[in-house]
Amino acid sequence: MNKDLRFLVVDDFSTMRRIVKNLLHDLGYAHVQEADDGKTALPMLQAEPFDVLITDWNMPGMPGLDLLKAVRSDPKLAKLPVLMLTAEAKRDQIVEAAKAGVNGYVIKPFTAQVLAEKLEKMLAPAA
Amino acid sequence: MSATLQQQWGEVCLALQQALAAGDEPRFLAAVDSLTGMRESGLWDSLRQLDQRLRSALDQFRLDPRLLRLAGKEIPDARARLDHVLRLTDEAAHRTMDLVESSTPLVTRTAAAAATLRAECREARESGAASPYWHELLTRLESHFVAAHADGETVKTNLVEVLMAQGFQDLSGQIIRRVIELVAQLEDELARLVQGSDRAVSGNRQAPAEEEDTSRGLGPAIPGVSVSTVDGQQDVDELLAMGVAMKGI
Repeated sequence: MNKDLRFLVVDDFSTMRRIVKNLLHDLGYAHVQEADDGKTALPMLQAEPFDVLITDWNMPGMPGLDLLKAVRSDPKLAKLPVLMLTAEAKRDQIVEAAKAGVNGYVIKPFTAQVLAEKLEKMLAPAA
Repeated sequence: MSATLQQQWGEVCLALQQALAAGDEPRFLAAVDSLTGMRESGLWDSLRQLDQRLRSALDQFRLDPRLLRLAGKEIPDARARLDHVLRLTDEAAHRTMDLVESSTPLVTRTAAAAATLRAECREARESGAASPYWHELLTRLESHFVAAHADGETVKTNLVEVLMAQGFQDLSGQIIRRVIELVAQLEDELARLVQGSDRAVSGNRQAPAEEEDTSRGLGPAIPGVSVSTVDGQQDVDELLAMGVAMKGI
């Protein structure tokens, strides 16, 4: 795996952002930035190049699903790999996220192993 | 049943029928008027009764001191309490992660050093240059470093688990936020309901805290909610000493 990949982690809870950041560091990814909802994440994504977006769903301001849709409808960002890391667990929601073009979906609470597996799977074709 | 029906409506129906048969329009219309009049007055009576009952129920409801206390003090307090829980769990989770983050490099360094020293001990032992005393010592050191390396790796794995466990703050936080929203809605609805009951609400908003029943305990102090709470252990010690002194008087 390419360890130089740049990650953006979006979650309204700073504890969760910190957990994900630590796990990514453990996996060898040093370039991790954070945003606390879609509204702050989108300008960051548009301003500088990111290789992977990991986002929560339920956030004040702009929720993760809207962020995903915004990313997919922006020609410059449309192909960005997006992993949803969320407690939203209804079947309909997962189908909705898939339809909106999500690349991976991990349900909270999750394990370090599951996150690593999904990331690897998601990034395999791109690498 | 049919008898009362006959009694109540028979006369006017008969008048209606006779007027119709005679083709007497003014009389017919007068009969229709009296018929609808009778019907409406019954309806108005029922409505009036219903209105009265509703009013008295509302009055009782408004004046129920428990309700006023709920709307004016306890529900806003409940929100502050939940906010405080969110803050506490957030702080605890970050404190735990501070410690995990500062411990991980230490154990990583120790485990790596153990692995290197283990290899060096083995080399020295196998070189054949060591005397029996040193040979035996190197054997023991090597097995110590094997164990130290394995323990270090286990601690590293455990630290990752400790980190993951802090995810509770996000999950419980999301649930608590929902409850806070619900409580806020309830507060709005109650306030609207209670509004207009003159003296009551404003008087109760300043409900004195000394009404609190402390016999069963009030739980942890909540900033902005709890009044007259101690400020630290020193405060406790001083108060206790004062209490003991007063007891002696």
